[in-house]
Amino acid sequence: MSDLPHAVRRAALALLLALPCTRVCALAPSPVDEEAPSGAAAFALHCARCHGATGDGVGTELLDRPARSFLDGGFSYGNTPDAIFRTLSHGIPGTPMPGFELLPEDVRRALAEHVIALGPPRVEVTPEETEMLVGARAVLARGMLPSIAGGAPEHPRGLLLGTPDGFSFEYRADDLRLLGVRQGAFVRRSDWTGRGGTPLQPLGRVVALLHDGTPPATFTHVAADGTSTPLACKLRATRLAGPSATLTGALVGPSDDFGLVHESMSAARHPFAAGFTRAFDLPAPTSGSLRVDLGVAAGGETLLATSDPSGGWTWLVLRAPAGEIRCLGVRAHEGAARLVPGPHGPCVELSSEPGSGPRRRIDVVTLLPGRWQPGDEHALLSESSR
Amino acid sequence: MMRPRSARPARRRTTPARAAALAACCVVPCAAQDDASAVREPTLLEREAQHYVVEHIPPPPGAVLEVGGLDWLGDGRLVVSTRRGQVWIVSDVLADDPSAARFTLFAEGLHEGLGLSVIPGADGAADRIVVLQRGELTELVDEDGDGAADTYLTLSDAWGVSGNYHEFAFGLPRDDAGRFYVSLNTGFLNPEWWHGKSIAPYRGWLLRIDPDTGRATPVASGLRSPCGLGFDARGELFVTDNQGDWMPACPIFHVREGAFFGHPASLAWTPEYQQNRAHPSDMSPPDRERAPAAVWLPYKWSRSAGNLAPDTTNGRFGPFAEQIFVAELTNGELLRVQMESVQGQLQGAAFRFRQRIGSLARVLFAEDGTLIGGMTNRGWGGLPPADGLVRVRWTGRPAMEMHTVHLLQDGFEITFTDAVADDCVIEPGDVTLTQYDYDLWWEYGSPERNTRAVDVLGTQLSEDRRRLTVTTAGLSPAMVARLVLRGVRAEDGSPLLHDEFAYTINQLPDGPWTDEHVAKVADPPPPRTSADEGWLRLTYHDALDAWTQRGWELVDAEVDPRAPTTFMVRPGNGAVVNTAGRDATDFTSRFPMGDGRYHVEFMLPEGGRAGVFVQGRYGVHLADDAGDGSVQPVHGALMALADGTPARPPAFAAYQGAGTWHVLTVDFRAPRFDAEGRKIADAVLERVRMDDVLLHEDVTLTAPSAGAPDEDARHEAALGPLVIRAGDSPVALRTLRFRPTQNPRSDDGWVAIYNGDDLRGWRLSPDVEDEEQERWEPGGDVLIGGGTRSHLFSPRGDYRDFEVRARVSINDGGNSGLYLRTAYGPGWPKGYEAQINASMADPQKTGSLYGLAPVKVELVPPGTWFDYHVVCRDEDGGTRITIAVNGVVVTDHLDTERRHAAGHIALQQHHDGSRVRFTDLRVRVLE
Repeated sequence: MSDLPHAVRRAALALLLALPCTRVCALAPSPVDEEAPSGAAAFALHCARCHGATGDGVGTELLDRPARSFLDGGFSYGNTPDAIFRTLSHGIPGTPMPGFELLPEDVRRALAEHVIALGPPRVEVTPEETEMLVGARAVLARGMLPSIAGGAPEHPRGLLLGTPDGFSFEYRADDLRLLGVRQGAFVRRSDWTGRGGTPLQPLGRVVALLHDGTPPATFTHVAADGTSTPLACKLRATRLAGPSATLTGALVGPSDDFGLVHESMSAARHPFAAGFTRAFDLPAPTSGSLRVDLGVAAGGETLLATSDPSGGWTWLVLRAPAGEIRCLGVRAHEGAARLVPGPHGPCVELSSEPGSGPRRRIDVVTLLPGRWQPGDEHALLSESSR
Repeated sequence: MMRPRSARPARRRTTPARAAALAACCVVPCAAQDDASAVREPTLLEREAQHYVVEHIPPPPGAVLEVGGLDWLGDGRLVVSTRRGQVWIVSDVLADDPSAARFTLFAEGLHEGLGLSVIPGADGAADRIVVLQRGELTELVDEDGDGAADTYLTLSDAWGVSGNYHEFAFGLPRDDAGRFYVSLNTGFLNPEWWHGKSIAPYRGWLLRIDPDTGRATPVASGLRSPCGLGFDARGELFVTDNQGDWMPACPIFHVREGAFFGHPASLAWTPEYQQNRAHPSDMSPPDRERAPAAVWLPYKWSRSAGNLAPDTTNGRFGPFAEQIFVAELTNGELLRVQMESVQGQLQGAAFRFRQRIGSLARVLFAEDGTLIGGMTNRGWGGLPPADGLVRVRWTGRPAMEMHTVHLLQDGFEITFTDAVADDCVIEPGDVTLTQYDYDLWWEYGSPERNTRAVDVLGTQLSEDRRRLTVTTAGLSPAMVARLVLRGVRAEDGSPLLHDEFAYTINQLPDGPWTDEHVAKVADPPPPRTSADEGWLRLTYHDALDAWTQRGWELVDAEVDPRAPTTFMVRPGNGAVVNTAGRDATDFTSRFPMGDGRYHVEFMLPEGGRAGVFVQGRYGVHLADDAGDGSVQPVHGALMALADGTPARPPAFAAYQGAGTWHVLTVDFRAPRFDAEGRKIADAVLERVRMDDVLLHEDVTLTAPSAGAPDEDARHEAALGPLVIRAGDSPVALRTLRFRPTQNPRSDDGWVAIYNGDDLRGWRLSPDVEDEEQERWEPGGDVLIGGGTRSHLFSPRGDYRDFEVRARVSINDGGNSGLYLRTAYGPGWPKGYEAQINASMADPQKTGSLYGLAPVKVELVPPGTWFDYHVVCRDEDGGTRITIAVNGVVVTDHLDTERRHAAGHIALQQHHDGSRVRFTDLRVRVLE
């Protein structure tokens, strides 16, 4: 006790001399002392009676259940500073552990740190340890995704694909939908810290946001009578193959299974502008048509729309209301693919074609040129035709 | 206790590498080589280490193995999944030298991996590795044969994940039909974060998953934080849980189809609750038959149980074939459990086995008799090491243990691992037997309850001296029996290594059958979401608003060392002090208060004197008289009464001196009156405490104190103000609070206007900005307001004279209100508003009649439930509105202008970021 500041020592003496009690008395919202709070002093004052002066759980208080020993580091509700701060703020109901909500916050923070320090050395996860890097091969990270943009929800089941060219593709995995594309470093596994369960921290800058991060179903079946049915895409597999990766989902309608869809992601190899390519391998529709949403909201200004395939590509260039330019290119490997307006924005439409094979393959390119000026049309199309 | 005759070295070879590894593991003292043990009694740990060695396996460089799952490949390599979403394949894990183990990263990027199972390849096919992620059961396939998985197949994701951190998924045993078993944690969410909640499907359930169809079948429910599963040697499935709400200690449950284990949250996903769209209460005991725990692990041995594994090594791990070994994380030890079937139910005994291993979450046996342990405690806490792989091996030296415990109708038959020494006599006095049970409630865990000693009448050793029959005066079912056996030693002189077991007696062998449980439903304690619930803070935020006074200031104060009979004050907000000295008035609350607990913190300078008067009538002396032996101490005394009753000194002198803050608490019961206003019961000071020292108990006050602010006995009443009278000396006050006694509320005449399910009939204000956004969520009993500004109008719009009440909670920075007699329409409603605001900047706080009668003191902190009761009726001269918080009327206002005649009740959602909760919303129309 002799190393305590005088005021604290006196108060501690007052409490220690008191007869047993199960509630420690709350203090006023503002501390009388203006010094930085000492966790050790506060521990002696508020905790030692039950938890022992050394934190070994052997205090002077008679309890019907022993107080926790802090020396081994176990805690009822987590051992992170925040978790312990919360526990000592609110107490543990059903136990003699009271809440110290009225202690000043800095004292409670100091106490949490002190109590942690009583235990075995903490193995802190360093930020470097938690960063996943992408080398020569694509890398997948599964985990909770934070909101990709204001107003977009978190996704407890998320999937992040990093490719060697520095793109990361962010999907919700419960119903496979691309939310956005990032460029830069890959991801920090912030769920490796604390108690876990926190969202991943994607590190790249968002370069393309699909429908503001809240995309509708990617795939829609349109029946011959025009009825359209959004299809769920249930994740079935992920495959890493060198620098690229393929995601496989099962297309499921309210009453029908439509088969598997494979989607492979890569950087777009187009000299006009940077961007990314989504290569789809889809079940051919047996009736009506299948639409693939391109991730761009309806509205905005159409700068270019080609109707005849140029070098196999059909192009749609849009200026979104906010000004950014998207060059959307579509190429079908078998059968025909048309760019059509859908209820949420432009789509690729694959119609049923009698006599065609069971699968269809299309490439969808999204280029992000930053600006669009006269003559760009030629640059875009001539490069496409090569 | 006997010292062993010889401390024989362990039979195993000690290679230099092994010795080095052992030396590196500070938690593994090598007792056999410890010179000190030759001259003193070895500790239990040292004795354990003579029989079971603990060896830590160095992890691969740079890696942290937070182990969540373990299984063997057919070729003897170990597969390890971790909470970091990695899967490692480890070769040579059983080599003599633990550092010979080689690690290969097989998969990464997964969302945790708290369970893993290998499906043995049939007919030469490769083994299949299946890992349990937080939200998915996944098979990892190495298609290109490079030693790392490239294809992750989703086998099932048929359960919910809300995003709450605590929603771990644990596994992963596999039955003979190839189906997997997964247990799902409940979530811990604010504000009652210590209650496990099931807000996504099947949280709190154990599921069986068919890997071919991906379909999950709910098998058992009522789980809280079921960290570990495992089959026993006979193929029975068990699941452990972790103590907390509705889990009095760590249990081992025998899993049977349809079993419910006691935690209510999971019931939300039963057909009954789904059909009724009901939410199980997390405060009331679930109305459902519970399956008892086969074994309750005593708290002192287990605070966080992991998984379990039967010893299937045919004696290579010692003589405990088919018994169950349980991973214990917090204490970092290995426990042993032995069960038997009694009246068709499995139950049995728990023993300690080996301490100081590390934060064991997973255990798995190897055929050679090695027990592999997987450790992790990140965020949970536990004995170091916090992570990594460890192995426990039998040295080959048998320990004298209680091998098997068989329950008799009136005692136990205990079989030892070895014969008891010929000269060792075991008498009833060597046996200590107690029984206890637990409370089942929503509070965190339970102490051992109803502990009673059981008389031991006889002890009888069998002829071969291996079996001891303990006869008692009678055992009770539905209790745990703790038996401690002293003085037993084997032929070689070894004493019992562990002399204690805890046997969970659900049933006695010969009955009668009991429906009681070891965990018994206890009267639920009063709800407590925070230390502040039920209190009114009378000096918080605006310290003077709740008081009628003159001459008091909010300052920082300490005793002036140069003039110790006075305070040195400076600007601050640490205390309220009568800085005006003699010109200061009494410090009188403007809210009338009655039954309840009064909490006053005060500090006196030298020679300081003051009085605290409950209801302005019943006084307690405060006096700095501890240092003056010439004066009869009066501090804490009850003042003499006006009817001549003398002053009453305190039972203890608890006062610590000038300059020290003290807490005075008074539990008070106001006088009672009959319908004609005649007093029928005196006021009672139930308890008066100073710094928790009891000064007075159950003192009846036949009259007000002489000299009280209101000493006229004719004025005694149910309610009155709290008054602090400083007299001539300075006094410093802080943290003045009142917690009214909660009386049961009558629902007579009260009509619930929110049905708990939906908002049928209620209407949103017509000007809400975004129709899509859900602002008001019917969350079961609780209606939650969120989103941008909106108002929710009651179905009825003709309320005139009526009262409305609700339990309400507002978040930090939130703002809401309860409108009365309000017209339906856009904008801020036209009506009277009882304000709901704890910490938002608006100075009008909870209890205010908005714009007409402000309450500026922050009576209730954010995030804390309070009772709100508003009465609105016309009377001569105007419309009277009274607003009570936690039963105390804080606003009583007469609107002489009669601004609003009749209308709806409306609830306010003030702004995005505000979150208000209403429950028990009821109206009573006044005649």
